[in-house]
Amino acid sequence: MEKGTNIGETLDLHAEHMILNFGPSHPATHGTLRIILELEGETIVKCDTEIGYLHRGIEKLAEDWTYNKCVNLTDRLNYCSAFMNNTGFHLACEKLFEIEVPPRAQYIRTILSEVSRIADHMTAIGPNFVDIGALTPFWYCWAIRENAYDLLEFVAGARMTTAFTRVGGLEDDVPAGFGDKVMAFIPDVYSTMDEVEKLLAKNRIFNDRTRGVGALSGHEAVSYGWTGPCLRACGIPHDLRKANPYMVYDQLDFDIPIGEHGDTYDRIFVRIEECRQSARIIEQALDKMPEGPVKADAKQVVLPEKDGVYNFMEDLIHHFEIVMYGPKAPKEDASYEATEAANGELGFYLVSDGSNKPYRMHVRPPCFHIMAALPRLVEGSLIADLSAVLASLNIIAGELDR
Amino acid sequence: MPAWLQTVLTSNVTWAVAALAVAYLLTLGGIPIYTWWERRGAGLIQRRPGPNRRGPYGLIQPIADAVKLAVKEDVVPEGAHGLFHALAPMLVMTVALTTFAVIPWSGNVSLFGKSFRLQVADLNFGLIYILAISSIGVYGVALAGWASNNKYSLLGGLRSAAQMISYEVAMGLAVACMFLVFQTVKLDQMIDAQVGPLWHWGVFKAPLAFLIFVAAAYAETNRVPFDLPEAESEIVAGYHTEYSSLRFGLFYMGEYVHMAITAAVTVIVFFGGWRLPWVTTVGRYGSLLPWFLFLISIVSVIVAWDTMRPARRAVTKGNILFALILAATALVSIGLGLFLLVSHVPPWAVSLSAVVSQLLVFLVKFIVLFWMFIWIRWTMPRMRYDQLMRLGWKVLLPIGLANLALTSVAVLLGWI
Repeated sequence: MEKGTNIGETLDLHAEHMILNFGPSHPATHGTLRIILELEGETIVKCDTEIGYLHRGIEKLAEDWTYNKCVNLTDRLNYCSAFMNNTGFHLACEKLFEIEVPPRAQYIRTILSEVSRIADHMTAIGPNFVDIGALTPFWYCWAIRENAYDLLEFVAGARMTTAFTRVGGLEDDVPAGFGDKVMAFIPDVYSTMDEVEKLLAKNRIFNDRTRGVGALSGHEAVSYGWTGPCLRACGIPHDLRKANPYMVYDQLDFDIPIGEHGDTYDRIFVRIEECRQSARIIEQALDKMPEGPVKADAKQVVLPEKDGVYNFMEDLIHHFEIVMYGPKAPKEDASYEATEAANGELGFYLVSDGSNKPYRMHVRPPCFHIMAALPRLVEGSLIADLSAVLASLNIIAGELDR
Repeated sequence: MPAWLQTVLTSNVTWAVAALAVAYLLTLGGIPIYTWWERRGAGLIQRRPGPNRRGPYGLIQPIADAVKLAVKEDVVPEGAHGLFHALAPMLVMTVALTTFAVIPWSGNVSLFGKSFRLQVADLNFGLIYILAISSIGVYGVALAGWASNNKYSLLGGLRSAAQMISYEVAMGLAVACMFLVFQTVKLDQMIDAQVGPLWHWGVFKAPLAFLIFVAAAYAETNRVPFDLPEAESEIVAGYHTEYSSLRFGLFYMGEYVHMAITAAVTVIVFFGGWRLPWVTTVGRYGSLLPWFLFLISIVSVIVAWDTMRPARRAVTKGNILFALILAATALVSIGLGLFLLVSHVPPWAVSLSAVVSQLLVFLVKFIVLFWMFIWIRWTMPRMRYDQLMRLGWKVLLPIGLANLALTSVAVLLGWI
């Protein structure tokens, strides 16, 4: 051996990096994502993501569907909280149509949005617990999600694909007994959040698995275009419900929980706290919800009452036009409306050529930007961390690939 | 008593077969109960019913599972090493079953002038045999991981090998500590050393060794929080990703047998085996006591279970059957007890009653420790690979060594 030669250099350990396909069908991807990992032992040296396995051409399809039909496409974006997508899309439509939605409809939209937010957050953190091996809190979360879906089913008739909003309001008013059902739902949310927090917040293994794992600074998070709970976990109190209030959020009192380190732990507990705040919002909104119509006073956009259809010529014509062709946008225009969906800023950009269909619809999904930061978060950590981080980011393939 | 019966009762073969029967009831025969129990326990913890459709309280469910596993297609992946792929599950199961040979299920009883014990093999290196044999189990897992020709399986196999070897060191240290405390390596002598008051139990003599032993034993059985080799959210199913049908079944059963052996060894080394604290289980009245205790514990478990259910349901066929079984157990126990109390009982009957009652005491302790496995599995998250290694080498090993040194000093000075 030459003098000064390092022993490690003379030994040929024949160590190759292993390429591992994490997905598209893997228990921890919760959808169809493909993550290509270059592993040294269990350490991730390089991480590359491939998206598009759930691409259904939603944006292109929208160009052939009327403004009311498109709501069914939005159901398939973030399928965990479809009602928020419905709302976001039709808020953009209403900006385009320049119509005002009656307050009752706005309150109902707010309540159901928050119910969806709770369902979505449960869908995010429940599987996150499973991914770090804790199965019991998952079922506690799942029970709440089940109740939220029961509530949505009671109102919209569908559990996941609600398709309940229309241009100018809602498909229909909420059924009788809605308030009681919502009030029965709220205490369970609080108690489950307390229970999950008690079970895990101080658990040593849970802390070891989540604290400092997949951490991102606030500055970096902004530069990646992060929004929603993931951004707030990084310590940046940005929430469109406060920053740019839409619907009736400016009349309601709620807090924006923020994290400190932007790690998996913070992301989980920001979501848990947001569920409590959502429950607060629902309580207040239910209290303030006025009586009245749930459809805007715009005859050329909104379906007329059945009574009018049977008795008046004009209403019959409107009914025919809207059912057969859908409401027509008033002029060539474009509108962008962003809402605070469960995962972050969900924006709909609509271009209209004055017809009954959008000329172009673009969706700004929160997941897409969050997913872009995944390699940055997991490179250098272990495979187990990848599962924990991926679930805490709540990547929904339907929204990511569209 | 006819002469032939006396010959049968005093034959070594009879006792070996009886011990084998107990071992098989707790391993192969116990697996359906364990799986059912795990699911019902999980249901209890997770606020859901668990299996409750097939048979009373879902008791037939494990049979349905077994049939499902047996009739499934047995897939061997392309590129897998045929021999090793087939050998691995057998190795795991065989090793798990073999360890049961040295467990003493009861103490010595005298029958017609001869002394017998419910134990398959009375080896003079008792506990060391268990340690040695159960270490071979890691070969099965590592082999399965390697032979499957799957990257996830390979990772699982490697994790398992690293984990089992690391935790065996800590386990060995805990066990060595118990050797010092009891001055023996034979399991029956360990139980004899724990006679008398409650604080003679191993768990009170060496509590630190107990904690290390339990942590290491949980790691050896690959269960939460140490179930990294089969962490489904990370490496799909680890070493048994590429196994199906009864080959998977063998892995699955091997895990439960491993849990059973761990629970049995813990009972013997730390909880006095078949002994009750303070009282004796031999003799005319002593052999009777455990029957009543067993009865009381069964009743209390059922009452607790019933009151813990979120909604009491109406009387069903299953409930009636369960109540009948319960009543039958109670009647038989009380009847036998009264018979033994009032009648002139021949000494051989007292001896046999002692064996059964000792077995019952063992079973109750066994059930409690087995429940701990289920309880912890459904409460804890999973550890990460590096954290697991750190715990094994940097926490358990130094504590184990220090504990060994302290115990040696304590034993030398006659404190324990």
